[in-house]
Amino acid sequence: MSCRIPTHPRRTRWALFAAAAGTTLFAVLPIAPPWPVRLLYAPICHQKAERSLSLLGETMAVCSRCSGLYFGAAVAVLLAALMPRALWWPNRIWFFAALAPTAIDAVLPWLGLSQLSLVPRHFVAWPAGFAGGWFFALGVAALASTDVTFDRSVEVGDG
Amino acid sequence: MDKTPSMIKATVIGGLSAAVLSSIPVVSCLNGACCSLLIGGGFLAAFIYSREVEAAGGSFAVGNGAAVGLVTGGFYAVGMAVTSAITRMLIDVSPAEQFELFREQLEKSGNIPPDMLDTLDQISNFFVESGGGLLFIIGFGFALLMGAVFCTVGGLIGGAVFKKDPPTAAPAAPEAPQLGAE
Repeated sequence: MSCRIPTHPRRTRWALFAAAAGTTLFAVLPIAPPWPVRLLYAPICHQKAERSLSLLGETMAVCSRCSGLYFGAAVAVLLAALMPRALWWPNRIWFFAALAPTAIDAVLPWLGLSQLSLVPRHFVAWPAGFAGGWFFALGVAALASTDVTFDRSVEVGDG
Repeated sequence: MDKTPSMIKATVIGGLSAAVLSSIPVVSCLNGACCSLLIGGGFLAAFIYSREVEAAGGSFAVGNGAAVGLVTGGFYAVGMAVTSAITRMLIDVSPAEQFELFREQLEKSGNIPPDMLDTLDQISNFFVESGGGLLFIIGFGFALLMGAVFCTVGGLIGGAVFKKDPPTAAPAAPEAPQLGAE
């Protein structure tokens, strides 16, 4: 299912490329970061070294789950930017289904079960990131392809 | 009669629930995953507003979701200010202790140069000496910024997920040919 975004004018394409650049930068910045980047990510991630992946000999500035969310979102928005004609509106069930793996992984320790190790935890977060990124891209495309003003009025009855 | 469903109810529920959950010690850990409580607050507000609009027989666009998310961010900041004031009254944690926790977290994450830590200590001392008021204002501004960014993203995603197209108008019946017209 379901409907495609009807038109892809230039403005939509540029908006998608801007969104893709932003999300890719957001995902790549935590790899081997200087300390100001660590400071930047501090409010949005616990940054525990024992729960973060190491790349290029450095501990990432975000935990393995966050990095999985960011990479999944970046890939989704990049795909949307590169193939705007393939953008389609999936059923919302898929959105919630994609959140399930990482939600289950997050709940495991509260049930007294052991959590996944770093690398599986990273990849388990990809579907949630991808789904969020895909719907974010759809939102950006829809906003860019329509007029900025939107009608909030709703007609009720015939009065 | 035109009736616009108010977005106040949806945004208040979304913003305050994100603020309250962010203030509960164990639950607030969820914010450690890309501010998921803030994104969730904007998403929840978009969901509630989409239901209200649907009940009123209107359409819900992605832009509505983003706007609802942005307003939700404002209510989140207000909610955080209130809950942090209440928390400060109930649990007497001084600003100095809060800074100490933040410093420890940064030190553990590694790669912070010692001179940077010294600078942080100086900033911490300045805030502690200037009293809690300045810290409260900065905290409110920071919550407003975070809410504006992440709740809007949540609202935008919610707008895309719960989008409802306007009902398509029935095609107009072709006009009957007028007899005798020249």
